[in-house]
Amino acid sequence: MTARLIFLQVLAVAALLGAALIVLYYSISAHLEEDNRKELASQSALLARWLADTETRAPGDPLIGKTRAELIATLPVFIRLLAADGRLLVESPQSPAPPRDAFPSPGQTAAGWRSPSRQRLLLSSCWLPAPPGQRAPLLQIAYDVSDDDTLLRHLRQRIGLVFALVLVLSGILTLLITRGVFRPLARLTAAAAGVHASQLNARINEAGWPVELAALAHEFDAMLARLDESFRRLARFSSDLSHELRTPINNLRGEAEVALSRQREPAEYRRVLESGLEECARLGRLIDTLLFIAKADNPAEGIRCRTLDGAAECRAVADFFEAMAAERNLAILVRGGGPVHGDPELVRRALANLVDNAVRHTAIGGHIDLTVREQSGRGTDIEVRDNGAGINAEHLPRIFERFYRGEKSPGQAHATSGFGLGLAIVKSIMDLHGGTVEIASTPGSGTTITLFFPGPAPGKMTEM
Amino acid sequence: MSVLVIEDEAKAAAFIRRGLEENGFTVVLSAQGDEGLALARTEAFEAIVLDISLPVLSGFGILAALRESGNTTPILCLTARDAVADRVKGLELGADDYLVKPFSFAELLARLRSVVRRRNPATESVLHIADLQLDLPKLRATRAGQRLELTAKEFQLLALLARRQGEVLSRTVIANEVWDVNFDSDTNVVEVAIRRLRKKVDEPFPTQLIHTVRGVGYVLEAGRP
Repeated sequence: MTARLIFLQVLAVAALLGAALIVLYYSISAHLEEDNRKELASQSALLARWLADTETRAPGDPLIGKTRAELIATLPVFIRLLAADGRLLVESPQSPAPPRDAFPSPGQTAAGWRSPSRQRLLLSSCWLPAPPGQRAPLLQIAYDVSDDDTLLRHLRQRIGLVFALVLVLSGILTLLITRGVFRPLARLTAAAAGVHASQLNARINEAGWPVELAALAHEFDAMLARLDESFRRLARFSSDLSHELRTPINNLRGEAEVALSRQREPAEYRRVLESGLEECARLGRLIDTLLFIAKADNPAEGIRCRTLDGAAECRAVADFFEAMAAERNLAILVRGGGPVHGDPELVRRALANLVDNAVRHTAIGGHIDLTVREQSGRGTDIEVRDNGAGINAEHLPRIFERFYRGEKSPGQAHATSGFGLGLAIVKSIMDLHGGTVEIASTPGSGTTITLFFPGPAPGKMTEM
Repeated sequence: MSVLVIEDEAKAAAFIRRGLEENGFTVVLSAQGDEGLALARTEAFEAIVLDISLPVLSGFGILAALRESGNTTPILCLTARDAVADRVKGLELGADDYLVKPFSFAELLARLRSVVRRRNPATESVLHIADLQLDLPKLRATRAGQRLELTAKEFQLLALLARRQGEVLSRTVIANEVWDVNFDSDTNVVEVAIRRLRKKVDEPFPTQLIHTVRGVGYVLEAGRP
């Protein structure tokens, strides 16, 4: 990233600076050329007049009496005078002389010419003033501009030098700046690298971060906190799971071993086998349940939702528990109504788990109410309310966790109250439906659990 | 009644064979997919118990091949994988029912009988078991001439047990057939329901008809110890 930034920065500087320097160079060189041309034009006009005026010089002029050739030889420019018929009248002695046809016609712009000795000459021509009726001689004039070339060459060298220097400097500067900017990132990286499963409680401490990174650092810490929590939950889950698995396997193994250790009555063997079957059924149910929750965590298959009659589903579940309720003289009442958008099997399973809990925790003669309430346009609530023992507030936050049992009572838990997975399943089912589950409880007066099923998403197929 | 069992797991094949034979079935066993398919094509069976994960040719392959060739023998699939997609695929390919391992043998038996029965459904409307009489259309149950006062669900439960007398029905099968509850629940609802039914059907009379098979399920049978 740093290399890339430096590369891009240097590239940008090269492009901008290069363009600026090129424009500068060309404007200078154009300006010089223009000056030269103007100079040449005025010089040639002056010379033309001067050469024409040789006969009319003022008395005392030191040039009087000199021939044109002598005059020309004193000048720093190359001059060639041609008669109208093309005859050479006079020429500066410099050599090499630019050829005649290299000169532009009079009135045309000056042309450049380069001598074999690398001198650059600017060429121009004009007519000498002539008395009326005579054809005027042609003046060719060449002006040495080699000095300008040298100047421009120096300029080019300087420009190149400056260009290279600026590029190097900008590269170094970018490197320094980038380092400075990225130093917190490097610290963040180091902090992230220091996080291991064994020490998820480490935090990267928000203070001291630049504003731009504070949010990232904060989110990073929040992520660590979530991971930490998931990890703890997972660790707790696996330890609970291994306990749940060990118990029935231990029973199976121990009973079989003891039974086989000596000769017994057939009825004894029978009892052991029957007990083994019970443990197997327990294991099978545990596996089913765990698979169900695992699948709900990663719902690859999705669920098959359709619109159900909420009250009818509640009545079906109430029917299922009718015998149990009658046994304990509990009343299960279904009230209200409304459409529930859900997977019928899952909806029943969730309701059955809730009613099962309610039946188990409600004293003889109590009542359980299933209330279906349509929430205008949003979905439907199903509320399961009992007037049973209630749950202490300290258990509520964790009540939907797997294997969480409010009151630990190992002996009693085994046969009657299942694995402590009932509410975890309800939570999973509601997650699958995109719904929510809420619990409110007052010890001594009862528990209310509310399931919210959202309505079908608009424009979405009922088959999910 | 002859059944073809295609299962490569030796222990599973052995207990299925033994259990089925003791329940009056004739069992032909095959441990390989291709061999099983050949057997299914050449001999007539009343049902096939088919494991999905088999060497050489998978259960799905056998299923597809049999149904393609027009063989309509009832097929009960067994699998250790509980993916809904698998179940749907099996049923789409023409399986009659589907059991996920671990299953109870009573359930295998019940399902096997029910896939066979589905082909030739019983039409009796009045059932007699010893001195118990069930009039299905009228929802009336009597024992020793005495009318039994049952709730609707109790009658359904008794009718289920009576229709399949002598068969041990697991709690799952009962919950499914009577209450349409398709999940294996931890609750003892079925136990309680059976207990209440017994109070009305068995307790007032000298002989017991509804029996508990511990760890397996319940059965309605006359003359069982």
